[in-house]
Amino acid sequence: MATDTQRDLNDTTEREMVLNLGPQHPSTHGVLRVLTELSGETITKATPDIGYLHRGVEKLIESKLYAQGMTYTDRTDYTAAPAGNVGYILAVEKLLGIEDQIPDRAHYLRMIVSELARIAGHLVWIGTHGLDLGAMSMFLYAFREREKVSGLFEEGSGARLTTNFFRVGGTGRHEDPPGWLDHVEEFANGFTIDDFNIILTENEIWKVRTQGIGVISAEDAINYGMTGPCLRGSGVAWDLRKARPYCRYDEVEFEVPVGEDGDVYSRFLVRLNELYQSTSIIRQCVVRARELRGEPSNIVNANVVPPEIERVTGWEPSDVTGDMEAMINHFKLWIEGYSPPKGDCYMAVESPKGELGFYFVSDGTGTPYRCHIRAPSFVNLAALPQMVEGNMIADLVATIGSIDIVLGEVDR
Amino acid sequence: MIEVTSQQKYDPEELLDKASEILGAAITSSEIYRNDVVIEVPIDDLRSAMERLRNDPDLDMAMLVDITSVHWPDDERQFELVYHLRSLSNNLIIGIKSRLGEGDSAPSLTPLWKAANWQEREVYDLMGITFDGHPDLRRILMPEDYPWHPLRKEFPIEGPDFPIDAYQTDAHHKVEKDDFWDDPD
Repeated sequence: MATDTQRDLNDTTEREMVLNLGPQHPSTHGVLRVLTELSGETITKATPDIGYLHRGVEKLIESKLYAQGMTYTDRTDYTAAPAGNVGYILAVEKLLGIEDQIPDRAHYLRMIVSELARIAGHLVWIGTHGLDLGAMSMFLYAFREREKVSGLFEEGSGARLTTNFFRVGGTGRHEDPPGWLDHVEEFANGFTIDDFNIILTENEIWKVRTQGIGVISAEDAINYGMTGPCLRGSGVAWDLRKARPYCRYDEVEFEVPVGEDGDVYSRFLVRLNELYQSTSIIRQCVVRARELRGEPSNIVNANVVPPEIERVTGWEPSDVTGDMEAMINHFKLWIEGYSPPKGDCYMAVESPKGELGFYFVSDGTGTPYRCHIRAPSFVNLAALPQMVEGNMIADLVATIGSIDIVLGEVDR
Repeated sequence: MIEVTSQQKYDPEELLDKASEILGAAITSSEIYRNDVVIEVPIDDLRSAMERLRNDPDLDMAMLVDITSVHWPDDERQFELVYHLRSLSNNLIIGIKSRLGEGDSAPSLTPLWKAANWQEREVYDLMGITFDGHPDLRRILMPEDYPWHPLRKEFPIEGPDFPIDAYQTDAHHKVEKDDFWDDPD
């Protein structure tokens, strides 16, 4: 039986044409395939076909220790890996019941990195979105800035893309290296969206290509479960950082940009303003993190946080071993991991793409019994047919770009 | 412009009372764990319970955030569906669980929420739970002719069709006439 995605491409009537877009198409931002039925240049039906990048991340996390499973969150939303790291850490901490004990300093460092991730993610989006619609130079401006963020990630965690930032129970060994906060502040002060405004926001061609395109109403956006800039672009002021403040988002001041029309241009403006708000949050957090310098950034709990590595290996290079208890503790933590009590919980953070939720079920062992990732890109992409049907084929690319999907997260 | 605040209309105990008041005897068990309110309803009452939670003016659970499933192979009713509903206007979140056995099907929520379409397809694909009344119940992540449901606990992590001797080399005389490697001579 020919299903929707397997239909014969030659089976067309005179008036209708079936056009296959993807999965290897540069403007689908990965391996998204959209089967479109066209009447002239108007889309009568669009059927997204996903799964080309499915790696079974949930199943893999269920076979690993909690600390090991975190590495997979780098590879879901790979444009903003630390956002996934922070979401995973907060979910495991909630499951362990230690979320109230995390030191302030760890929270502020996590917020700095989350917002840097938002900037990194939005810069990939604005670069590729501009490139899709013919604003070639946008890509170069955006990636020039993103390079600086990647540099900060590398300085803080050692990796540019798969950061695996921070650890459950605090920051792990990712204390901010000397001068890192200065570099972050320097970046936040120097970052400007003026270039993007000049190239795109007031650009007549850009407005014609994006205004009134891919419209989704607030009711439909809520009905589809859309979150993040896609929901805010439709005029719903909803941001988990404000509504359910995690880390210390209740102690910084920022605004939630909201669009009006629910079209591609509204979502574009929302994300552009979020870039600006993120730099403001970073500046406030840097100030607080400086004040807290010298304070602990990990909780004191030998069941979760491993001992300092010098206590295991010895403080001097000539030492053969260090503290025996520390070595046993270290060994047990890396072989058996930490074991949350039996139970389940759901924890969501506002990632650059929307509500990134982790649902964990613990059976009392060191590996999660079940880990479900509520991926914002996956849920947002489901609304694509509604947004493009009736539009022109050229607007499909604009709409896909404005949902800001990452296929690593859609397919998991 | 609407302002988003951290003000929640009910704290977890009040939310649980309110949900009990709305659903009455349909709730078979409930708990508050880590400040999350979770209720369990029988699978036959699931659709009407969700509808009542959504349409109640005091709760206004307008958004279906997440659908997922858990496999408990040792239990009589093996599969557990887990839904999360969110109210944007009142800033509330509630989890709803429901159990069903092998071969049972769950009511589809697609008439209530369009968000259920893809998420139920994902549950069907990865866990093998069927949904009654779903307009387009196809696999979504795995290939359409894939025979297994990978998130079930009996499914091995490397896949059931993984060749056991794939890592063994010529030294064990397992791989002869390998098509992929040229003969060095």
